[in-house]
Amino acid sequence: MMNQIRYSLQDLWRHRVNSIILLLETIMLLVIVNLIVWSLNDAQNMKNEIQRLNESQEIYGLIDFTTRMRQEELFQNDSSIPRLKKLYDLIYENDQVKAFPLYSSNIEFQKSSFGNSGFLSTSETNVSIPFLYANDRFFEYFNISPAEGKSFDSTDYEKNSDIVPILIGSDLTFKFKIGDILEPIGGLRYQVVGVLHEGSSYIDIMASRDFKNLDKMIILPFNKNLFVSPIDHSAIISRAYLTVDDPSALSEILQRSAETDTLSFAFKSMLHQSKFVAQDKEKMLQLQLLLSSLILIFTFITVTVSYLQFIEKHIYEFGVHILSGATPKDLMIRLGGQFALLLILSNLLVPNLLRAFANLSVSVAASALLCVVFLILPMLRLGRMPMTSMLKGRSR
Amino acid sequence: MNIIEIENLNKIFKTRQNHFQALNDLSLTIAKGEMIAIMGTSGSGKTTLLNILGCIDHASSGSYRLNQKLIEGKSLQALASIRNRDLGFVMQDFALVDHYSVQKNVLLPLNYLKDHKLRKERAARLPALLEKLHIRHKQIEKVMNLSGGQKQRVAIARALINEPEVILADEPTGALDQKTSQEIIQLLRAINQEGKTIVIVTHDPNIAACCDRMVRIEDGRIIEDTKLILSV
Repeated sequence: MMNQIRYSLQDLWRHRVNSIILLLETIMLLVIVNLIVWSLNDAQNMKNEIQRLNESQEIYGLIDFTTRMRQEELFQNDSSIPRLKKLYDLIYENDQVKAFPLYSSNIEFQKSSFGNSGFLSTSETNVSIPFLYANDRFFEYFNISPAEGKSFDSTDYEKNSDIVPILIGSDLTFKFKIGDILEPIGGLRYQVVGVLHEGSSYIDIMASRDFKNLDKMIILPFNKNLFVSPIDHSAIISRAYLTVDDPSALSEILQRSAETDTLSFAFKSMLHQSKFVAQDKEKMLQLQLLLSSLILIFTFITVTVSYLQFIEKHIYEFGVHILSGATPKDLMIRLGGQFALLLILSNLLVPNLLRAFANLSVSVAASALLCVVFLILPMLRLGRMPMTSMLKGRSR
Repeated sequence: MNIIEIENLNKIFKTRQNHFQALNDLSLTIAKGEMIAIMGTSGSGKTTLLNILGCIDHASSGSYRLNQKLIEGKSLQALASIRNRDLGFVMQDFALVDHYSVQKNVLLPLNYLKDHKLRKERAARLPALLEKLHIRHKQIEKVMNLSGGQKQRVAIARALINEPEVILADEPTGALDQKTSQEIIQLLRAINQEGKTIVIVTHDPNIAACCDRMVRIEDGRIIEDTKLILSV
């Protein structure tokens, strides 16, 4: 057995260019299988989440129709702030509706003081960590809660403090822990009060139409004291989601908003929108599956052809080994061993390549299946070939 | 004592359209220590016979005993073990792996020897064996860089490394010039005189003349079996 594994290693080394190509093809095969499974899971999760959200109270998203020119007028003039505040109050401080924003942006840190930031978005000098404003309705609606520490309390949404309490995604615990005070660029300071469960996410149906993972994000309390400029107000208003007991409250908001002479917008039912999102997602998934399957078939054929070519090239050598006392089983170990070694290497590399998309059990299952196929192939090829033909089949 | 006993051996090659009988009720015994030439024209069945003797092909019917052991019905594993321990092969095209060194080619049968102690003992005899065959200086050379005569010496060394009782040679001088052929045949004779049984398939009468016995085959049957007095 060990001798055959040694021969496998020697074969791989002797045909190192082919081996590298075969390794790349094997990696590609595993990557495609992983991505297909990930896409299927993602689509199923989204379907489940949309179903869950629609089972609760109907939610409306705000669609902003304000022209660019109008926006510029509002943003350049601080006198628009009281009017925008009025609109803000109509949406967020209205007893007839329950609203939450899905507004996110970035908090910038000095790269030099940050340490290892490999998996975060970085520029030459800064490290950017995305943040999202959240209130209790957001946590309730998307079933999000901290795994450690505490969530925000009612004063966190109101008090005007120098230090803003924050919740961090699980991936950020490599750098921050509960109680730490963060000092990013810009003057405001933040204190970590809780860490979210790993894999926490929300779905932004009106905008990106995808799950947004919170593992690398920071959550800030939705506190109006944090909004000072017209841009802040406009951004937070246009990313509003609302639930209402009586839909006439929405018409009232629209009527009264006209009086503020600020933003032009309408409300759209998420239930209605989610049907289109689900349809789009399904179409996209079908296309992805079709393309992935084609690539998968193509890659599988290439790997198989490379493998069969290797067997053909070595038929005479195998014949010499048979003459010296080898059995077809020995040759199968030698051939299968090569592929098994490539698969082991691929399984070590694929998680690093795909990171969050990688699924070890899928890779291992696909590898096991490939191993069986690539043990059967030489068995079929060599098993049907008489030893005398092997010794005639020289192609060195 | 007979080391090889074959009785009523038949070998039929079947294709979709026709059947070809390569061996036809062939019976033959070979005594231990004999050096025998099997002659015949092309297609007479001599190589088929050698392949069956070498356990790399099987008969359609009949019996074959090697060292009193019946070969028919043995598993692939058992046949591989017989090829490894009891038989040595010298082929016309040398049956060497070109990109292996001389040493690696010669030691190849030891890789399939199950007894580790024996494997070590036999591997230790490699330098002496190569010395005897005058290829010691080529020990680490790749086989592809050797001459035909040197390659055949490597093949003989490989055939001897596991100390088999029987050496099977299929046209061992077929790819060599006359002078080198003579050297190889003298080498095989010398090995025979050390007690090994040697079966040579050839169509060269000069080679047959160096053997103890000559068997002529035609259409899969023995048509002549002669004890030879003269030898090298």
